[in-house]
Amino acid sequence: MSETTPPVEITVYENGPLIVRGPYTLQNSDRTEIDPGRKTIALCRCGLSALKPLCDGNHALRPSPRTAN
Amino acid sequence: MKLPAPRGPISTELFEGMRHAPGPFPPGVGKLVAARARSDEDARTCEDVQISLFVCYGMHYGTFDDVDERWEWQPSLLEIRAGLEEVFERDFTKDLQITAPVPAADIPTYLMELTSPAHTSTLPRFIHHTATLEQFRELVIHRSIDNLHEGDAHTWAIPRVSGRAKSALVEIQADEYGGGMPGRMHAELYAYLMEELDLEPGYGAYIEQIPAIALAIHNLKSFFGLHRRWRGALLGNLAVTEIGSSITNRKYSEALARVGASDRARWFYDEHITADAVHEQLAAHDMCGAFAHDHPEETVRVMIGAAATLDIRGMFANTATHAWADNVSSLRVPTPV
Repeated sequence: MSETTPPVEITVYENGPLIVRGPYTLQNSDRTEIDPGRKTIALCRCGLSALKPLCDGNHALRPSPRTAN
Repeated sequence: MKLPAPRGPISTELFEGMRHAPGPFPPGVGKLVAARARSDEDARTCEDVQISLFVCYGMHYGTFDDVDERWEWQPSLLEIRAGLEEVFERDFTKDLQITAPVPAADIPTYLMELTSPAHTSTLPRFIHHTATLEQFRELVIHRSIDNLHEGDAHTWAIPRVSGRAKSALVEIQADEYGGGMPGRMHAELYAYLMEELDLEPGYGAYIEQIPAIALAIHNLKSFFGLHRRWRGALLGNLAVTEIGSSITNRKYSEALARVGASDRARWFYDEHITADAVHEQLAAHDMCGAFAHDHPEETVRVMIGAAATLDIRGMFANTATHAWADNVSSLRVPTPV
């Protein structure tokens, strides 16, 4: 990677997904590539997504952290 | 599209004048607008106000083939528009429960809570479980005036914001326009949806059947987009359009599958499931959060934009679902004025 290539950047969002930008490759464990259809992607980290590994917004269906036990 | 039919005294005078070369309107038009300002009737559901605003704003989008394009900056039209915007603003702010701005750092949480599934309208639930194909087609018609211009009003915010908020906005907008891939703009995906449901995707094809409250969703965006001082509200409007949208769009896509629509018809909604999962984070944290941090004095505008948008969308949802509960069409029946 040259010095001018931007690094892969992963941002953790509060009560939300991981947003991934940059020259990443998304792949299955057998190394077959997953085409996410867009450059910047959101990866599920709550386990509720029906489109894993991508986020589908389902984290919002969990009880709010403010009201959860 | 051609100028629509007028829906009351103001639009009658306005549209008649706009068929000619730009110039002053008869003095009676200003009096009609002034009289409208003294009336308590909600401008959000007033057919005459909303169709007039739609036409005023349409000049900035290039909507009408049969109007001299110089009307766009004609002072007489701008003056009428300002009078109509005054009543629109009065009414879209009147029910808002915003007493004080939240701290800028709390804006992302404020927006997320405002749009949480617990507060969302009954429309997605009805569409998901109950709507017939015909009712879904009505929804698509109502939303066509806005979705065939998806992204456009929010683009007006780009030159008006800076820094982190601007980067986030541009990243969202790039997706709205298909990431540069021809045929993938969200507005184009909406046109495919219309084709698949045997609807005419030409802009404004159904204007006469679209009621004031559905026009108000689009007019609010145009209003925020065309006034720099409302840039915070424009960002708030975009944020609540994105937050929670993945869940709603999945419901719409599944509803289309339930009534037997094609994958091409579902594409518009399917695309939004994954796109908006990214956008909602960018919009809440990086765009609105950063904007509020940089301009704490405008935080209240972000809140107004978000809340007013949800109010109007809620009014639209109630109108449509009540009509369907009564087994009647939710579309407007044109009446001569």
